[in-house]
Amino acid sequence: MNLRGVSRVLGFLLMVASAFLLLPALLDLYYREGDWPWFLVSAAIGAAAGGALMLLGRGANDLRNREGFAIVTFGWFFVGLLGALPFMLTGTIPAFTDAVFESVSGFTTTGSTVMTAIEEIGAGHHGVLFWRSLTQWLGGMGIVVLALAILPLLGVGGMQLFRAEAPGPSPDRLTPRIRETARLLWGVYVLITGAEILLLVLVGGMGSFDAVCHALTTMATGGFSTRDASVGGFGSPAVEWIITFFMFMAGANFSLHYMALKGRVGSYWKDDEFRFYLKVLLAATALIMAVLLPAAVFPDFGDSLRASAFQVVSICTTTGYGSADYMLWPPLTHFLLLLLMMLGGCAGSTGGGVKMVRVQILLKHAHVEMKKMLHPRGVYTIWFNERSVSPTLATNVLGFFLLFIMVFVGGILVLTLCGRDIVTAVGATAATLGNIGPGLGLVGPSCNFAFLAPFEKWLLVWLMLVGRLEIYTVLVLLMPGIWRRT
Amino acid sequence: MKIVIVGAGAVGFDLARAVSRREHDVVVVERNTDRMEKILSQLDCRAVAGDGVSPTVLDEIGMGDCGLFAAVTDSDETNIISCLTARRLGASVRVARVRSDSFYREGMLGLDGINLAINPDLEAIRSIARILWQTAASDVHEFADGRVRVVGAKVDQNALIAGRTLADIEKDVESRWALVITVQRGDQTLIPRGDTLIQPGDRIYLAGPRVAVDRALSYVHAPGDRLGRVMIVGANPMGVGLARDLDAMGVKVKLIDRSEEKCRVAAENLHHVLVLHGDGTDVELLQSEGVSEMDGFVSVAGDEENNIMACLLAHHHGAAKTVCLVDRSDYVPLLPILGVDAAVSPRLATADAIARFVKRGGVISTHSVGFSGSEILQVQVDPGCRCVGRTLAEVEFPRDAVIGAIIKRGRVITPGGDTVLEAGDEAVIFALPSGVAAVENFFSVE
Repeated sequence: MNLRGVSRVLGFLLMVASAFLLLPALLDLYYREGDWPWFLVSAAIGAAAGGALMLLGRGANDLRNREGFAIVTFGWFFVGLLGALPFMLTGTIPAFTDAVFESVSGFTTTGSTVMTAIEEIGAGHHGVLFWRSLTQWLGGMGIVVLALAILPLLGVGGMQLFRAEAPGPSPDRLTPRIRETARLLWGVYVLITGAEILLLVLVGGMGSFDAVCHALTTMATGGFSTRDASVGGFGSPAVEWIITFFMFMAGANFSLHYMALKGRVGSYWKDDEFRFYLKVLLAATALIMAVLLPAAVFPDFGDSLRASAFQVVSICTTTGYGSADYMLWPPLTHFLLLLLMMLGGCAGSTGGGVKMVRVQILLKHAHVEMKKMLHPRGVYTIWFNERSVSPTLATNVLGFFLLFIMVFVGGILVLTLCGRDIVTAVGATAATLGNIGPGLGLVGPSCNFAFLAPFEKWLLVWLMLVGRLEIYTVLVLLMPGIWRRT
Repeated sequence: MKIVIVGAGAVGFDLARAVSRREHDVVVVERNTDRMEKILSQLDCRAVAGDGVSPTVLDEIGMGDCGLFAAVTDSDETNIISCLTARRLGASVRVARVRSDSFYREGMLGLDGINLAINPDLEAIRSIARILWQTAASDVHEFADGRVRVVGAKVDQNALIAGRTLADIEKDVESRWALVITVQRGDQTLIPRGDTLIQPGDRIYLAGPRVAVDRALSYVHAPGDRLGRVMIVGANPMGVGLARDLDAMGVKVKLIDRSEEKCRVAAENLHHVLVLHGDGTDVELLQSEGVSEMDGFVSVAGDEENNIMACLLAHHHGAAKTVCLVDRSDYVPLLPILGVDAAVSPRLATADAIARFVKRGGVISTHSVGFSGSEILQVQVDPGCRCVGRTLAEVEFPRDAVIGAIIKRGRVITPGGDTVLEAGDEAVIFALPSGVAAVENFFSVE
């Protein structure tokens, strides 16, 4: 492990994150609420720490896979710590554990919150609420990808970092140069976020502050809201439909959006994963409707449709907004939503979870095993998007799924050991490992995570990082071999 | 015309034989002295020892008066460079045998260095596909954009025409539009007359408009079902290419190969094809994969003895039609006796494709029939030809040849004694080896 090289890049990541702390400071000045010195102090601390790390590692420039894993994992953790500073300094979330939980929940686009009475806090701390949404937006497309897009500092090692952070089994390369790809993806991200802000203000009738905050967290599939009752707090069908649409967009592969913006709209339909994603969402919505209608949860068909579609898209893309409290719905819907939590969005999206493409490869793998029973001498490969999937990738997916389940079960085990009931334990683990936000039971959509013990919160923080960085990147650091000097 | 052939391997030998029979001046360039000896002892041509890419060797032969330069060695690179060298030295028409797919990607060939690139695998795939689709046929040739067909088929035990003379058959078969142009019995090839008796087991060739030939086939053979399932042995480029073509046309294909590596590569390239790792002569494997339900069974693996064995096993276990890849003509006479329905040879297909470039006496194209040396020629009648304006009864048509169909102003006509040949007409002619040169002379202009 080339620790100096790691330290240099970590320092750089902290500098980039610090720069973004200036935005809430400016907003605070606009609202004249007096929090701006604390944002500047946080930024200064971040920049100082970053500078020190860069000094430590100056001159080192030899990044390979193993350094990539360390950089990405620690980078996310350090940036998470930096993000916690404004919450503590402004007194909105005074406890250290809580502040880190909120910040990491933000950067990993989870959206689980420990904040109670958000509207009350928001009245006097617009800057803090904005920072909370901004952490999600930065984390959505990825801090490392952002750093890659801004400066060429990372050099040749960039691909390792990109791979370690990017969601999905094999990141698409839109251009030969990784930096150009990172820029294009961020460009698309900014563009769609802008479109959502406009629609929310003009069509949805939202205030501009709320619109910006929600657009930031929708496109990141984060799920932080400026209201206690989440999106449901606005009581506007138009807003809910707009957000449903943009959550759907955020859960799809951004490479496809890029193609569409270049005029190749047909690429959506040609993509196996996108079609599967769409079918899953439609089927889940229909199933939940089928449960809700006979139970007469909502007064009319339109309300049921809107609530089911919103909740299905919100959970499946791992956003985690709520428009209604699904814990009050019949239990079958909880199970369906739990399944969706595991699925997650598409590869190359800002969503978390296992990812559609992996689920598809798993299903195809199972199908192939069945066919092998019929034709024992058959030689099969798995096909995806009219191309055969290499056996290495297929094994990688199997391994991923196994590890995902193991971490999931481990999380439930520890939470039940701490005395939590099984529904809450399952819900909290799924919600954090899948970067969703609200879970089930005591951590359902109308509750929050504040009541958990500090140890449990740290466990969930770890699960969020493991989930956002797609299991391998974090777990590989637990192997002793990676730390050996080479 | 002076024809230079580089490489005296299987393809080179067949090509040299085909063109030297037409009284061309053939020069073969070959590095291997054994092969050179074989050429010199069996064919009437000149052989030069040396490297076909060497400008010295080619210059010595003289490229200036060379009418056709064909590079047909085993190596794509040698063939391509050879053609480029020949062009520098002034050869007017250059043909190369190129097997690698990647050379065929847009624009790579067809540059000024090479006038025609031929892929033997591709030629073989096309003929196998044609044979499979024409379920009753064992050999299919198409002329004039497919309007005229010549189809070879084996006469079934209980076919309507079995045991009758041609004159007798013509009386009550309404489809008079298809002509029987040749009968192959054992290793004997005959030009049929009115009193020729058709026996079960004969292989007859029918010529005529496409529809008429397809209809006439039903008198020769019990009509087959549509082509639904095909099993292919050999996952080499030919097997994979054939599997891809058939799959694209909606046929369910099973592909078998002994090499696991080849199977893996095939499976990664063929989406809907079932690839099986195993031996094509493993009866248990064939049976468990339902060989008896196959409409076609094709063996194109590298080893031709194994190909024949696989086809025999498949035939024995109930495959409807078996096609075998054979490159040694010695085996071919045995195949119909053993029950293999059709044999396809890539090297013959290649030699054919190149020979089509050698135009003489108005010949537009030639197709080899089996390995016997018989040919089907498509000829255009030149205005200066002796036969113009006379009926077929008046002209003295070569004895060892027969006209199967005439294309007159775009219409396909079955020739009779009163048919008049006019300038611009095209004729599809079957010729025994002894009749090929006579046909070319007949249509040549004095």
